[in-house]
Amino acid sequence: MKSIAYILALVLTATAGDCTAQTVFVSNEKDNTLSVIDAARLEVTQTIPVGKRPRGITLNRDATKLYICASDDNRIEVYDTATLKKTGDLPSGLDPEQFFLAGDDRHLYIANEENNVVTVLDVQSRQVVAQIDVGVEPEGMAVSPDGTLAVHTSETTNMVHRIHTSTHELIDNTLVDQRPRHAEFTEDGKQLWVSSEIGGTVAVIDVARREVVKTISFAVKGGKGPRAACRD
Amino acid sequence: MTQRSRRRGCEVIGALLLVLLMASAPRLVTAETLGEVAPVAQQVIRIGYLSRAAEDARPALYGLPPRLSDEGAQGARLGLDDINSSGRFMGQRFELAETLLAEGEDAGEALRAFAETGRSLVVAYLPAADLDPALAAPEAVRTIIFNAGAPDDRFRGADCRAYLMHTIPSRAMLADALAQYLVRKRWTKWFLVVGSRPGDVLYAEAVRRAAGKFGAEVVSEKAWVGRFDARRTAAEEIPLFTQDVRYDVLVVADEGGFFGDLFLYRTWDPRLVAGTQGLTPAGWHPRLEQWGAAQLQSRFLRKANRSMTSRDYAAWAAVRSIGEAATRTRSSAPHVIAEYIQSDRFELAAFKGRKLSFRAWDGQLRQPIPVGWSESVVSVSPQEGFLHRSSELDTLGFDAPENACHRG
Repeated sequence: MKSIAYILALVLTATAGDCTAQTVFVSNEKDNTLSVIDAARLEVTQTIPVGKRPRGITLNRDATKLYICASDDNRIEVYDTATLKKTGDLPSGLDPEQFFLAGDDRHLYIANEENNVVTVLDVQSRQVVAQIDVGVEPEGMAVSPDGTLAVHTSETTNMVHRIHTSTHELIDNTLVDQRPRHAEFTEDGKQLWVSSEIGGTVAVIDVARREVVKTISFAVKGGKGPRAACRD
Repeated sequence: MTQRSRRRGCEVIGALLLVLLMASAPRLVTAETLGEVAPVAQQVIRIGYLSRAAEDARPALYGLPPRLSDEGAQGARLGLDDINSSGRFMGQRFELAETLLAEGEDAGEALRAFAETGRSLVVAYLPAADLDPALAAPEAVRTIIFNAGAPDDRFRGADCRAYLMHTIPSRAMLADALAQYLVRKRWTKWFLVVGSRPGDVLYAEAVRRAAGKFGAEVVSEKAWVGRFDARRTAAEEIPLFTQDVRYDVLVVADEGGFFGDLFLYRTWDPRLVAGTQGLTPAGWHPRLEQWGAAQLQSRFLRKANRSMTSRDYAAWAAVRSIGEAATRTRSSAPHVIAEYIQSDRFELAAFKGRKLSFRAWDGQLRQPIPVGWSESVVSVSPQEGFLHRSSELDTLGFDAPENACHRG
């Protein structure tokens, strides 16, 4: 693996119905910037300075707001996607790495990699709703489509942890292969797919049964495993 | 049995049933909505950590940082934190008991003391001179030892044994890692300078072996016999010492750090220095940041208030391996843990970009080796192009067909 910037990308459809006018946002972990790319021309149109070590990046539902984890500044920055101006900072807890904005557009689930907690933040009231102790080096976050379940991976504990979103309690842990990174629910919420970078596998977990029902292995050179397709 | 006692018996059974129903009830509910982590009986896994206070025999020199008194131990402690934070989800608790051998104390005695307190998983951060008596102790047969201190290849060869694992790279692995990088750069003519201490001689042996293995050549070899501190006169001595040799790289074997530094910038011809000083292969590097290593580095820094050394890393990897095996097997039985660690199912994510495992033939942890100087990681071996039929990591050190170990 060459020394590349930690890239996180998102695609924003600028105006409804116009599929060509898409914008890609990329957070550049090593440069402390955000690259704005015109998807049609595949050109960088702007490079905006952001907080230190930007990693996780996401949009709200109508794509008017962009959230970025500024990991080394221990905060989340919010940008207006129309003006590309920063509109504010949110408290995030220590070293936010990845996060997931729940379907209610309001609760942000943040993996705090350095101190092994997940922070739940209400982006409207700007209040930290809960902090939950989890495994070592939390990374991937996801919330089920029905909003009842938050899951996250812990890279060094090698588990997927489930958090009940109404009680903020850790309710179950599933062992997966080495260094789990990204977690993604299927659209129907019945399955959860988790990639393990060092294990070189993707675990397909039956959400109701809480079991790994299939493990997809990748024959990766030198044991390097899959990383998440677009968020990592 | 009286009627009364019979009724009482029924009540007891009824109560038991109720308990069972209550115990299983949350499980039925959980599938739908909430629930709790199924309670697991607490397992306790006891680990011993054995080390010797290292004497500081280095030359008297101003500005030399003090010898670390907690090297290795801090790695083991961080490993313990890691596995305990995973263990609480599995109902497993790990304990670490540290024994620091004082002068005159025998490592074998310490193993006996561990055995008496039910510790048969032991991380040994010991030099070869202490590992020998530890292995000779009667308790050693029933102890699973993780060697995190001795790089001597003989413990992976003629002196190996069952349930002796090594998380510290052997000298052969280190020399091979350096050799691959030098050969890749086409710096294949080496001038080998060897110190007089036993470790230096063994290091030089590994360098010669690596040259033969990867197609480099030791074009000249000289012993550094100076037992004095040559720092004041080095500017005159080193050019003379290195004159009249045609070579690409000067490879120095000075494990104690007595004279190797003197060669940098002082050779007759402008040449690079590698080996135990200059460009150095090691199990860990404080500047490694790729593959999530930045997280491990900063966790270590916060805990120990200094950067992580190769020896800290070896002790950390040993404790992590125990934790990983206990988690996967859901067992606290030392031999179940040891069997799993040595099986092909074991894998450890250890911030080096690929999964690590133990070689079945000699118990060595196969691992990438950073090659760098104090301020920077230059490369990480194995280098691209050095192929192996099963794992490129096995291009470093003694491979299965050449191994002299009979683990019995």
